[in-house]
Amino acid sequence: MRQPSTLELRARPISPAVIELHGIGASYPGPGRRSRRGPRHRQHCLAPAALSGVDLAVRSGEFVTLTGPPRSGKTTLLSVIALLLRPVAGSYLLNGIDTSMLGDRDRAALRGRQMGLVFQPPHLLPARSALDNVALPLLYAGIPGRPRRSAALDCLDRVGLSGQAHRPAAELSAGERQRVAIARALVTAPGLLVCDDPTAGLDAGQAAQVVGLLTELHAAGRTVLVTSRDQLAAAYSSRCVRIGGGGAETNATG
Amino acid sequence: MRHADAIGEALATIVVRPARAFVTSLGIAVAVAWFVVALGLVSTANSQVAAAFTQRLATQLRVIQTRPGPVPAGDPFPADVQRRIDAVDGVVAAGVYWPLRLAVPVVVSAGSPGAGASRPVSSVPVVAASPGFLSAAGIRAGLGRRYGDWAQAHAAQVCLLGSAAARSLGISALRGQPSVVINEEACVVIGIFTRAVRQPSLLGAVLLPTSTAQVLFGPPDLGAGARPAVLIQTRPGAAQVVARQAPYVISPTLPGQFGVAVPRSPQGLRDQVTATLDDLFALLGWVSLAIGILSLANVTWLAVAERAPEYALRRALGARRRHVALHVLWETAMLGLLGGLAGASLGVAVVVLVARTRHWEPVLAPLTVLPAPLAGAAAGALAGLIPAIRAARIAPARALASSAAA
Repeated sequence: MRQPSTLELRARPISPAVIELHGIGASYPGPGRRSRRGPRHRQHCLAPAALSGVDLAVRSGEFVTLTGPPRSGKTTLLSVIALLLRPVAGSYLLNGIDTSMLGDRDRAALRGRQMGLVFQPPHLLPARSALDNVALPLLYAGIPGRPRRSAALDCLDRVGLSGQAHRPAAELSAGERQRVAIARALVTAPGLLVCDDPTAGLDAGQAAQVVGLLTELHAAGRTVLVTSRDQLAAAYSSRCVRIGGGGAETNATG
Repeated sequence: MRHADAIGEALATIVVRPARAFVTSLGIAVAVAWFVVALGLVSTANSQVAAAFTQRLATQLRVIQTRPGPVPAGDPFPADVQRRIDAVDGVVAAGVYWPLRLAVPVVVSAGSPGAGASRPVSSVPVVAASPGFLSAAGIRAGLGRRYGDWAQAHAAQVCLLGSAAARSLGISALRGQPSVVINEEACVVIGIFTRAVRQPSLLGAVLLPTSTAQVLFGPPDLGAGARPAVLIQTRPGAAQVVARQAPYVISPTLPGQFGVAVPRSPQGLRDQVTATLDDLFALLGWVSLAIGILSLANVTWLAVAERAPEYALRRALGARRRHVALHVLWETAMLGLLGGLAGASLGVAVVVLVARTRHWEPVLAPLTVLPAPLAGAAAGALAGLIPAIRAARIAPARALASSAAA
């Protein structure tokens, strides 16, 4: 068994609710604090909107789309779900584990092994090859070089980019970059895929390709959670959750 | 994460921006080059410094009384001190001398002794010196001759003038038998010396036999600082041996009352000079290394700010704070290593070049050159310490947050 133990985790019967949010309140650190830590140009950017009192449950095998107007808190909610941001209120259970009790180290381990993240923009290391980018999460999981590269190559093949494996990420098209990001999210074989607006900035053809890939992965048994500004992803999903002003939640079945 | 992977990531980051890496590691390179050049030039100059010290310096001994002896005042040396010391193997010449402190200045008279005074000259020192001292000091008469054992034995009223003293006294020739009146006592000038190889300051003095000085002016006045001493000229290399024997030869019963001023051996002098050079170079080296570290730390600090999204992404993909800090540390250590390699090469080249232009033999200790790149790596890691802490503090939430920003 050379494969990481994450496979076993996925194969194990899991509780029906992958994600359980109760009364979540969250906000990004204020601009003053961030400008002290970060580069100057970020001062002028708007921090993602704050949330309060959000309840959400995602069951295993669901394809859930979060929609809502800009600055409605989609990204903030996704950051909480991805364990990147600690909520200031409420509780968050991931696969039945209360994440508020976990330390930074455990959160990093959970994030690395149980979910794959796709950011918007895809956030690849531009100078590194597609292969290196996809292999990055395995590096932090402590997988040695050779199995790491073969697993990364498998995932690139899965998104149809095995031919571009050794090209620097900067040379790829926007659609290809998004697919590399999805391959990177898949490389740890997670049960949950979390994507922030995966079709943003893509033309209709590329967007359809990405959405097709996501539905394919959903069909293969993964739980998929995406945010989307357009209705394209929503059309494919099993459930569409709309986030309205301030963070109250409305459910609608898609 | 394994260390090999951490190093690989650091190298990959350096390789994609070679120009930045070059500029960043320049400070360390210059500092390391300085160290190698400094240490290399010091070791190269060592042999040259040694050659600069002549054997002459190591062949002169000076014996003085350092503790009170049985005779409360006057000349502490026995009358036959010169003969006793001459008997020691390795001694070329030896003699007693002391400066005379006189109330009445030297006065010159052109005629025969006692024929009336002319110009008084006060600035000429008068030294009582035995004939053996003249040899030990390397005094050669240019005009006339030196006084010898006969003059010493009979306390003859004769004297020798150094060439500078003769000039200030207005005596240029020995014709007409010029004489010098010292403290109302006239002494015939029998010679003017133009060279005093080992005691050049005597060129400005009037010398007369110690016996004459004792008869005319009494024993040396210790209170006035007129301290008698024995000057010994030895064969090259014999100085240390003679120095140990001299007190016993002069006074077998109380050798402890004499102190011998031994010239520092060339080895000691060379070590001292080298140590001084070492200290100076090392100080400058540390200063330039500190500047190199600070500049690398500064550039890295800015680079961490610039690459905050990348570190946030790595955190979001499973990297722990420690991993991110290690990335920064390995990167600066690598830059330091590269800087160290470049600096060491540059340093060796400079040392060889300088030695070549001076026709010296370049000498470089492997212990100087080989650890230089490692020292550079250590300096780099040191420079990366604070930026690494900064990078570790970047919140992973930034990875998604920048999506709203972009």
